[in-house]
Amino acid sequence: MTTDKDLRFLSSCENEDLKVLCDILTHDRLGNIRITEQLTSTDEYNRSYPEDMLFLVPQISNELLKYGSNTLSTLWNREPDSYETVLRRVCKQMDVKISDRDTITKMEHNLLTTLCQDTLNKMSERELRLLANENGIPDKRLTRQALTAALLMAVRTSRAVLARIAARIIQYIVEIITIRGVATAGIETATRAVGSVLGPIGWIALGAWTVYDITSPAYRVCIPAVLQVAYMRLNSFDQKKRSAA
Amino acid sequence: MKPSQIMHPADAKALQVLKQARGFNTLVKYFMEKGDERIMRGENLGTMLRVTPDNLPKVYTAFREVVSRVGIDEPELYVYNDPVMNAYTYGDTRIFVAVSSSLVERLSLPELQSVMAHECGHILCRHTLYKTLLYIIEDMGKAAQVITESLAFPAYCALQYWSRMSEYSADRCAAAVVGEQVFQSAFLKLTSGLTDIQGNPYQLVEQGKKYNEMKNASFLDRVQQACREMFFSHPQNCQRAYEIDRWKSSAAYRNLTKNLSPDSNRANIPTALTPSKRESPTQD
Repeated sequence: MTTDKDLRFLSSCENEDLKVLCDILTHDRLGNIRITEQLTSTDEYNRSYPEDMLFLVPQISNELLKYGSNTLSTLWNREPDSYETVLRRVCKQMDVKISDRDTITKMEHNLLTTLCQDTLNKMSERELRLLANENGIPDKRLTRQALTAALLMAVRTSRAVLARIAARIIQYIVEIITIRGVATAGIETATRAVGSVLGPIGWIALGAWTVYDITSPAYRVCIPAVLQVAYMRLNSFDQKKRSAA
Repeated sequence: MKPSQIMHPADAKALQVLKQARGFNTLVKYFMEKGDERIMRGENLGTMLRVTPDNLPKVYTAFREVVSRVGIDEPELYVYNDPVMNAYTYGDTRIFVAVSSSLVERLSLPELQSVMAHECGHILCRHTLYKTLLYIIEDMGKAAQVITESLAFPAYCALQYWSRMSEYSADRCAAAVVGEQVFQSAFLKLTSGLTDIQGNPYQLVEQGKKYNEMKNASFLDRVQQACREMFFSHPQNCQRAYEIDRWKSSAAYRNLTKNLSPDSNRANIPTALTPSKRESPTQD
């Protein structure tokens, strides 16, 4: 099994970070195993989880790409989409501005920055002051708005601050996405119930819609997983920089 | 021991789906408590031998040891007269384990513990409740004709699949309690019905590999074997041996065997188990 070229850096990541990524792919936030996951039945998982996660990198990246790809096209091509394609899909789903020329690092940076901004806007003043303190931003004379603006500026300008803040709030983000995913599913079900009373044409459309939905990428899993990958890349980049200095 | 430590992923997934039928589960649990469990207890007391520290002290002590390692409330243990080596458990509120007389006669004590631990694994994971669902659907289709077999068939097949997966979890419990080597040797005897088998103790594992190779050789093989297996409540014996062989390299198995090793656990077993300080059997 080969690892996607953009995910090869996972082999240099820490065991604990890889374990988190693996857990996102295999279990939901309540700790229940995901029904569609295929990782836990593999020999490699048996041998490597949770102590030697580096041996599991090809399987983890393959599982992530499968979640991010369309099931029908995976069946047809026998290969899931590339990480770049999956990342672009996630950015589009999360309304993150990217261009066709953007590199993986740039897209991931934009994704993390946008989500950090969203999260900072939702945080309480107490949480903001704590975060500002941790990142060396003097907070005593700042109002909530000024504090948010200072943190946003820090996130945009410093990769190190972004990494620190991302690490702190990644769990928070993952939770929001999971809840949002469930809520969206509820709305879709309600809309579909309307479709079911539209007669035979409605039923056919409904069937096609359902098949499309079932086979389309599982954003509830792949968004948190891509976020974790983005955070890990940022972290590994900073670690390399620090060790070079 | 926690169910999550031994649960096979396929069993955990299937159980998750089954747990969603909450009302039905409560209903089944109620009928089990008020009906089947009482009826079967009567049958057990009426036709089997209840194991006590007095009649089969070694078997009873071995059973207590297994129960203590698995960490469940002690179920009643019965021996029934049967030349076929087999064992089963039933109940969600009042649980029992029944082992056949030939098991007691033909297996060594650690091997017998392996079978007991397998049944305790079912109890730990609360498999009996959902197996009852399976029997109800089977009975409704076959005997009672409440719903036709063809209508019940998909649900029946799905539950049979889960039943097969649940056996893997129970096998893991057995391997964790007695060690995978003892599990494999007990399984060789259970598969062959013989007591003295020479050669490689992992021959069933090898057979399992060959079976999987054969099964996956072509599309036709896959379909034929899947159709053959779909009506079974238990997986093929060689696959069970192979699954445990795969699982033995996992951290979960290593941690469990380290924590459940007889030496580390013997201190936790009440002294009342020793022959000189035996408890008197519970009066029913």
